[in-house]
Amino acid sequence: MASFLRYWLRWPSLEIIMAVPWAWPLAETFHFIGLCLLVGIVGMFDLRVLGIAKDLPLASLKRLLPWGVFGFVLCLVTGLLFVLGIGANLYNDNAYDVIARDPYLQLKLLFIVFAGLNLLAFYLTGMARRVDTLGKGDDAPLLAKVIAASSLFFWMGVIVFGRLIPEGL
Amino acid sequence: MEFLTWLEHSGFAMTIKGSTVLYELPLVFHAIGMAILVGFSTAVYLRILGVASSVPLAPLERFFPVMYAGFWINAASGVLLFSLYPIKAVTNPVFFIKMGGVVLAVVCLRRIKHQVFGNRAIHDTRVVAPADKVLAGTALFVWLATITAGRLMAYHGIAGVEWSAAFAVSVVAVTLVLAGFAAARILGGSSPSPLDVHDLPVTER
Repeated sequence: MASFLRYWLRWPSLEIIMAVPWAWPLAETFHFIGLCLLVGIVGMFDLRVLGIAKDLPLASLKRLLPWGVFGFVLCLVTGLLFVLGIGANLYNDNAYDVIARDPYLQLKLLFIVFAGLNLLAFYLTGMARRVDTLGKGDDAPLLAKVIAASSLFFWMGVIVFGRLIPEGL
Repeated sequence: MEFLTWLEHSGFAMTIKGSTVLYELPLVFHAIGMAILVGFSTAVYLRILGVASSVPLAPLERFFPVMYAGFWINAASGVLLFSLYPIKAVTNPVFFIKMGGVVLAVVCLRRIKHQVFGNRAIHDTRVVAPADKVLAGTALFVWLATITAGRLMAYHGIAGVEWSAAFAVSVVAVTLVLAGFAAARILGGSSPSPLDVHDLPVTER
């Protein structure tokens, strides 16, 4: 199993891209730009659900969310560049070994999964539709607020553990 | 310089540098503060530039205290990080580019607060003047440059990395922003061209 994963996680041969001297800082910069877009726009949506700036109708604020998704894609692509491929990561390790060893990377990935499940819950519980109908001055249902607060918590956790990844390499 | 040397070797700085937890703490807060300040202000700038133009502008003013909280988190953690390696910072030209960027960004933020949100008329008609869009676009660009400089500070002394990366980031970033507007236009038409003189009042949509 381990050798299978080692093989497949090595498959995207990114070392040619990441061997360019400025590729690593460039990818990091875009990771940060993506992070700001993602956490800023999703965070703004969450805070409105929690009751800040209640005069914002949520159906219209939702239209900013594609830029948050764009931020997530930026982070995903650059994040894969950091981890995948021999020589792509700082210590010339296989992605499998890096993921298996680094507790902060594991926690970060776990928190991204939590944030995803939280988003799934937002839709499955019908809160996404309920929240859509909230106009100027309307208060969100308690469950929607719990989901919004969880979202803030998980994304903050992703930032914290992401920042700590070099400590666990 | 003497003071900075003393600062770099002070018991305070040495204690923090000697402890993983104490050293990572300001780094973590610096990333969180950045996400809050840059992220929330970027959302407002995008709205001013015409993204999601059905979002009423006036209530967005409530997010300014959140941005200021992000700023102060970063001011505090930034001063702390500076005090750990002051010599490394002041001998790095990129550090001054970053600081200049922060100053410019804050000036832009304050001006937009005054220019766009100080105008009571937006409560009724949500008119965005071309000057507001220029300011918002400038502010976005300044954030991109500041984040780039901030990240490149870690690569000081690695020949050729800093300037080529900064150039590449600027080119790609401008392309990304333009592509974003083009995509938004093709996909939904919900965002008018950034060059539109006025956003229509909601009653005319």
